[in-house]
Amino acid sequence: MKMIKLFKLLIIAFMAIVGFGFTQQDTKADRLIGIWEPSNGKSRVKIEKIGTKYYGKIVWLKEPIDPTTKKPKLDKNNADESMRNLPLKGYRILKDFNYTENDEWSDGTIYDPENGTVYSCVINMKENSVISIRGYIGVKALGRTDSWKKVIVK
Amino acid sequence: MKQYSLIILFLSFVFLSCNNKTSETVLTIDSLSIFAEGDLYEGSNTAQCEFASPLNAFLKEQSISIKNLESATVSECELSVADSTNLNVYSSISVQLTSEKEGMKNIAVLNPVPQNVNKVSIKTAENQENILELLKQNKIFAVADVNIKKDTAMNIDLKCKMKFKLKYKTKL
Repeated sequence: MKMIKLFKLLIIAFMAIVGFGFTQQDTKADRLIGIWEPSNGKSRVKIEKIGTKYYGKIVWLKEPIDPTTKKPKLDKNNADESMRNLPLKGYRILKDFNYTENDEWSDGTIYDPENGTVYSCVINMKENSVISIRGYIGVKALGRTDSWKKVIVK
Repeated sequence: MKQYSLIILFLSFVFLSCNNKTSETVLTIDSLSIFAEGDLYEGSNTAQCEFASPLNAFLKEQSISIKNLESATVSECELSVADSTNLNVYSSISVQLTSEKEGMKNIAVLNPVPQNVNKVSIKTAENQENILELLKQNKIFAVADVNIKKDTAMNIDLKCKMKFKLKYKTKL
């Protein structure tokens, strides 16, 4: 009888440890969720979680109106012409990031609406309120890094 | 004699290889409820739902191997609102699909959203890559990115109907 009780206790303890591990991992990964501003200050990107991956979309533009059309800016450089009608505000520029470890989110892509190009991308968290975003083609060495600051919404 | 056997074997192989035809079918997903809880703020908001791929049921029903699948595209995407309100609150809507193993794909965009209607058919993307790979996943997420004209306390509750055109090989 004592053995059964002990066994049950061991199982509960094991489940608690495993559960705690998962929760801790999730909490670490979820620090990416929030609104971030690239260094040029022209836009703000909201990063959120869908399933187990992280995605970011433009939620604010410093200059939301296209000076030529006098209408909200569209994704006019999209390689797929049928998608050029999509407004830049709300556009999902960060896609498919998985939390690996050591404050790094990888396997994702970043879209540059200025030229309609999709780059491989890795995100590193320097501090809780600063991330470095590196877009690259092929190998990480061939790329560009930008620092984004977290925007505190009051 | 050995040469003849080899030729016959080769011709049989060629005949069997060419003995396939490509068939086409449409898989329909009805009444997906793409949902986000309010309050919603002016600008971009996300609504999502998870659904099971219709592919497994089709393969089982038709006794087709997954190896015989050739391609898939989203051929139709229709959105409607469940309650009596219409779509006037939205200025643009884009629909995307993603899964844990496959990347997110833009499949349809609507801008502007027609006024005073409860149902719209959205133009699907011309370039659709790896939709078949997406359908091979058990769980798929449908995501609607909607731009809202003004702050509102309502929820986003879009009913979505999607049709997938599937091409597969069958024996003659």
